[in-house]
Amino acid sequence: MRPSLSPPAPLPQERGVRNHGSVPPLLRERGLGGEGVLILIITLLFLSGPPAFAQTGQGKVLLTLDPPVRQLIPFEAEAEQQKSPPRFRFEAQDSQGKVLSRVRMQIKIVTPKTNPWISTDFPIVEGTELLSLDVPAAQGVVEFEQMLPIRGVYQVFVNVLPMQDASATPLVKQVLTVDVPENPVKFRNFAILAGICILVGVLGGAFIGRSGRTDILPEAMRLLLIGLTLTAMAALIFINVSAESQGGHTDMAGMANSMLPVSAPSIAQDRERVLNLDGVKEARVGTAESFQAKLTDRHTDQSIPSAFEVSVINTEKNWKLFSIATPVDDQVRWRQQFFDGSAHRIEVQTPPYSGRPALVTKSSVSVEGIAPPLFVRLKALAYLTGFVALGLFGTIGLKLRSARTGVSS
Amino acid sequence: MTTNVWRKASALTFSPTLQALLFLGLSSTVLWTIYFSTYPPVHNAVHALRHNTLMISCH
Repeated sequence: MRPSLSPPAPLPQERGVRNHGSVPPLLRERGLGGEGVLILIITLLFLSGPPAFAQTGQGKVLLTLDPPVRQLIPFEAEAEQQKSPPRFRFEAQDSQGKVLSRVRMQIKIVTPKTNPWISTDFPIVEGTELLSLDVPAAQGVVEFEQMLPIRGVYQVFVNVLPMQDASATPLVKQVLTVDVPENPVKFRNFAILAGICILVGVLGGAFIGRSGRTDILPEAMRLLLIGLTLTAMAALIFINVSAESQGGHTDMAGMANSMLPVSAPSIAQDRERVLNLDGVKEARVGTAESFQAKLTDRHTDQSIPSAFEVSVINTEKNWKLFSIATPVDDQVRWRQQFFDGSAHRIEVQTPPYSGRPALVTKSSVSVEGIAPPLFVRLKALAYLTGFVALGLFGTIGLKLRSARTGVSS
Repeated sequence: MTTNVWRKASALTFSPTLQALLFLGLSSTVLWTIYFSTYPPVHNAVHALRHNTLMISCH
């Protein structure tokens, strides 16, 4: 039987970033001394065995975001000027709070889970892998920029491993959460939409509920209007059903991608070195894809340790999805999801070497946008129609009530 | 007989209940087209509006 750990404890450096599943918070909260810690660790080992202890580790990872979480808003699709993605900074510390140097960090960011009541604007992205990295951290720190697509609680899984042994037991294994608030503009627009829906319902109710005054228009004219209403509904339903039956994939992404130039070569080289970028050329929203860049000796094909600068840019609107500058390593590997259904460009650069210029390789990835699930859209439609119905039946009810009051008096 | 049927049909057609249902049907069809349709011309025209409204999903 596993001992129950304490509830998640907020990290001190920032509100909105939380620390889960690690032993140190439990120890800190109880204020145990050295002996107490030892007894507790032995007890944990006895009760849950080595794997449980290995999963928790003895240090911790501090995550800070720039801008801070409370100032963050999710990605703004169609914004005139897209903001820079937030900068993540991970610092590995031992149980004494000292920085753990000469380590590797495996980082995985998972998007917020689906809310059964209210969808985000990217429902396909909910609860999926956004980014995975495996990078060295000689100074115990990893930094990168990553655009966050939707509101909600992101889970960030971090493993800290010895620098030279990626298969070793993690020194620290931790789950952090980042709670991104919704863009306030969306609340305002939703309130306006709900108000319009209610107003439309009220207007409808004002005409439909005209008790005793149904002879404003001749009967033939009223029948004609009803016929027109039914025809309009049929036409709209036909158009929408036709669009759905074509697979529900919008053509927008395809149209945008077809206008892009041919992908730039994913190999760059000079007399001595070859920089190779491997990865898919086509991706789908909701699925993370693997990429790898490696610098090799042109003559011996041996790997050359190098720093790498990676950036992923949305080419349709020219905004940055992800960027990182890694310390020296044999290669850089990462998994990336493209949450916006349009083309992206991946750029990998290695610094100048022995007087030779930097090597830069670029690759284009076309991304297929996927329409939200029908059920999700029908649910939101039911809410909006509910607002219309509220205004409609509310007004009709009020009219009937006032009519009854008038008759009785 | 025919007049009687016509009268009943008219009464049903002009009944507030049916009219309210028709009104709701038309409203929801229009709402669907604006906010949820995958019909490309409509989708592209209102893409920003969809992404900037809470609860409205897009891609």
